[in-house]
Amino acid sequence: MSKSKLSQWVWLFVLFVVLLLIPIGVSGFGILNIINMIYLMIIAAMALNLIMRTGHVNFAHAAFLAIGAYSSTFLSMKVGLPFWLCLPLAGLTGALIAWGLGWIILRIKGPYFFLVTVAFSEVFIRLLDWFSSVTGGHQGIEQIPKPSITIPNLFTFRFKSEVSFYYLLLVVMLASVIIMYRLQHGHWGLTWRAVREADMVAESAGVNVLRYKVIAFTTGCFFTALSGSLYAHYVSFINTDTFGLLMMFGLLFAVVVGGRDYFYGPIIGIVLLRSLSAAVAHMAEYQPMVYGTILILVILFFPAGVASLPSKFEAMWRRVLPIRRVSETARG
Amino acid sequence: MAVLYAQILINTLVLSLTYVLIALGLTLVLSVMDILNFAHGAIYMLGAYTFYYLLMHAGWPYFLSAILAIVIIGLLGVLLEKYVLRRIGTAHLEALVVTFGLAMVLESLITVIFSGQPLPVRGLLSGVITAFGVVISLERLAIIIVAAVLVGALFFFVAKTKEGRAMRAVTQNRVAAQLCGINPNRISGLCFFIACALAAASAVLTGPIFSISPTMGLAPLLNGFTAMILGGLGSIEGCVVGGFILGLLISFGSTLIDPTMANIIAFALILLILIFRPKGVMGRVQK
Repeated sequence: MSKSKLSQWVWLFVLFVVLLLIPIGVSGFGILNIINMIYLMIIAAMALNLIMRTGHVNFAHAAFLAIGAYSSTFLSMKVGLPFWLCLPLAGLTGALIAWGLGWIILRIKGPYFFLVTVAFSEVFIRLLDWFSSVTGGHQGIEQIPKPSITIPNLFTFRFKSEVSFYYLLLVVMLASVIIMYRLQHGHWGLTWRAVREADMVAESAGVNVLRYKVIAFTTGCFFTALSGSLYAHYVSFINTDTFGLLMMFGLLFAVVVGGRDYFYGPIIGIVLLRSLSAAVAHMAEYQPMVYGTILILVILFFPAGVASLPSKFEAMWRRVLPIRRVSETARG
Repeated sequence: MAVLYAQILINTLVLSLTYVLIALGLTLVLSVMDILNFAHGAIYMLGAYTFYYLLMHAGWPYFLSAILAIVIIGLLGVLLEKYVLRRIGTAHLEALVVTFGLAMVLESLITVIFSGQPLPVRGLLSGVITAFGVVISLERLAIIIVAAVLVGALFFFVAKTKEGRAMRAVTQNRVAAQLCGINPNRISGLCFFIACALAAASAVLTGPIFSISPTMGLAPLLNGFTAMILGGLGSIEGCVVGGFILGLLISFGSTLIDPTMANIIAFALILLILIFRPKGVMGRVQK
């Protein structure tokens, strides 16, 4: 038991070292940029999956990315706060809006909830377009300041290069994933599962269902807004088209393709889909065709997502070699 | 001023009926198969291009190309239902992802074949009628009449025919319908045929007014969803009412306030309706 736990820690450590060394290993072809975007989107996709734990598919997720991005941009460019304050404040803005909205809309279930959030995100994005004198609309906002660390009279370090941003994103991404892991495997996570699988039963057992849904929604939107803030400062450019239906479907696809019942599903999904779209990027107008076809095939053949493959293969393996199964039953 | 309003009202009628045709297809698929069909906009677009190809490239007569386009798209819908959607069953999320993936594939296919440029479609009728100072182009008048006939035919079909009754039975309870000797898969196929054919019909009707492009499906899709929700999910009468509310809102809003604001108001309205009256204007209580 302790030995297997030890080996688990060793593997995690090796993985961490590999992640630390990635910028040294890859250079050129914009690969690091793709990896940075993967880290950004992992935070948002994990947050989406966290909300989906309660059985609600939040289709306003891209709108919350926009909330994070625009509030952070506003705070840093108009108010003049440093990035290190903008980031948590953007997260809190997203959480606050989610909290207020959650009490109202989380009473609605199933496809109705989906449509409510579609409507919310359409209203929100179109309002951003409408107030284009403030938000820049389609033209967007350029030259969003990059974060920097200043020690007075000594030096200033600016996160200008992709490599420096890689480490910043890595830290925030790992921290977010660890926090979400703790949340989903703790008391809240158990309650969320109960709420999704049998909300009536949970309610009769004394769980305040709506309250726990709001908690999940608020937490998820907090991390999404964080990711939006990082996006704004990393890319240095945002406009209203960035956070449209395509971004939303990109996140949802990642969760479904990766496997929404698995904690690491969204990570696998984001890595696969982002690499896929990078790989087909040179195909120009054929790109959506290839991407869409692969998507449909994955859903048709692995409806539980790519993360379910190992257990699926195990089942197949056992069917091929029934002897092992017999010996196993004989043993115990 | 009265003439202006009358003029807007005529345009509203055209706009509303096209929304209704799209929303009806979405509603049929939602109520019978429990799927929010995101490929509906792309199917509408495909209908427009099929019609364009038959009419302008193959040079077939107008009515033949129109009817052929509608039938071809309907049959395509049957194939889609049989080989793709049936395999997924009634899992909302998977169906959503697959239909959106399908929309991506179709859009990109058309872009590759016809290029992304907007294309014009030849109209059959030209000329206008002037009555009481209101100018109506014959084309729009034809759209109003044909669309109204189609909606009426669908009403008759669902209310009076045996197949329509079977469709309503499957909507209420799939298993019980099966026990009564109805083949739900056949009904799903039929319903997808009708939905796709209606989308294609809408595209054929409006093609000569708007030019066609690969991304033309998104706006009707969102408007169809809006009309469907305004009227009440799963209600066919509701679609008609919702389509007209949306049409009035968009056309009067665009003329009197601003097109963007009219859209914002429409979406804000469905947000409020879903929160306070989820069954919509005409919806029945469903539990």
